Amino acid sequence: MRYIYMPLALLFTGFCVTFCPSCTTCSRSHNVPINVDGFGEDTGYVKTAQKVFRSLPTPIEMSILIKNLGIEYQPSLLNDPLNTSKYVTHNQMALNFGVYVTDLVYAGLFEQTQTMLRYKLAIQKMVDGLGMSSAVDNTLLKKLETNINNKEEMLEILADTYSSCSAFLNEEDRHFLTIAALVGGWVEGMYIASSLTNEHLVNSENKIEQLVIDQKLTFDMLWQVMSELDGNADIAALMSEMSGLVRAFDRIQIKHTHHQVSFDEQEKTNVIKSDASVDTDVFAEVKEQIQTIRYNFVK
Amino acid sequence: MRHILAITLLSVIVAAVCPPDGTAQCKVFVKGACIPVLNPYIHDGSYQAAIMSEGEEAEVYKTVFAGQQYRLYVCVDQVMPDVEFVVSDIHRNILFDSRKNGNVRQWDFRPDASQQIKVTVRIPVRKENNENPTIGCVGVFFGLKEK
Repeated sequence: MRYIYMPLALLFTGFCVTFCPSCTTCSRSHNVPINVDGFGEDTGYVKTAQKVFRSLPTPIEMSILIKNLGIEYQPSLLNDPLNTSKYVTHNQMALNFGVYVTDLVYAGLFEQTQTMLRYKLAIQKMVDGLGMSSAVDNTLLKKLETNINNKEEMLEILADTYSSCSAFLNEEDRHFLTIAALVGGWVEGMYIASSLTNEHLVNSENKIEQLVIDQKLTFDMLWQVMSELDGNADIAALMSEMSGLVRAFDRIQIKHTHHQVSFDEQEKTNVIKSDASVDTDVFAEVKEQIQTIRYNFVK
Repeated sequence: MRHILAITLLSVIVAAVCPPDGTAQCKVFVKGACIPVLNPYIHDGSYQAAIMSEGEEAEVYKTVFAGQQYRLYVCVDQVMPDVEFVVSDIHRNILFDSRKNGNVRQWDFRPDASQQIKVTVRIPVRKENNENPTIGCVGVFFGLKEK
């Protein structure tokens, strides 16, 4: 009798593992638990939280930040969609998945529909290459094509596609690819922003330098996540490639004091006022490092 | 035949014991109920949602940039009690407390300097229901305004 039920027990286990992931974990996201040491002084308070997330920079956020600088569209800065054939390893594909999503959103914010279609195809190739086709509903990318003239809808579809891919990679225990995609998207955003200072600029230059330097805050979070996965050879290689940028960012000190919130009647929003001092002297060094890293990602 | 019956029985037990996948459930909920509330702000594409139960607390760390207009929205499943959230800066200064602002679930803000903020979300415990805490999807979302 017990021999009859042995296969049943195995079947049961298999069924549970396959169809019931919530037996072991209730939720996952591309945001990972954080080491909160150093965030203020409230460690006791922090330790009571059951779930802690870092909201890492997405290609969508980076593109909006760049668009909000008020500088005209610069297509020559984007990675050529025809470069997809160069990316053969999963790591290269994940990095350039992030790069292409940033490029697509950037083009989309400037309503460059033909360019967007070319980037959509490039993203599709990266999705297929990474084996994520099952995660990204095919209709999602088709929907993107149908809604290419509707900016709000297009951004929503892209956010959905992006989060589906991140969730899929995490569920497949391929966290390093999620991180690689994040890094790729972030570096592309930094590359576009920092390159804008070379051309078409006079008045906005300080704003760009400020945005690039302020990304230290984001980078610190990204670096912490990467450090937690440094046992992975691809992540270790990526971290080594970015070590020059770490050194440059380490020279930046951002200090805030006297936070205060007031309501702006005109904008109908709350304003977080603070005295901040940031040293932007290292901008040239950060820019140089970003140019090198980005060159290595897309070559 | 007995095997088929046994497998069917086991499948029913598994389905009853194990709730549907929380991630998938949360994603459907988030898409329909949370993201649209960010409008006219553009969702930043970041997905911070999890299944939480009464009495639990979650924290989200986020970098916000100078001069950008943000909408923070804390989204909670209808089955859950009212959610409370506090936004604080790196020095533990409280920037916003939903309990002191009519238990709203969103906060629009613009930092005049780039900085990291922390959003602490708490699901209060319903006293009458302590032995069977309600569980549901809770998400923290950010939108940015395009200039």
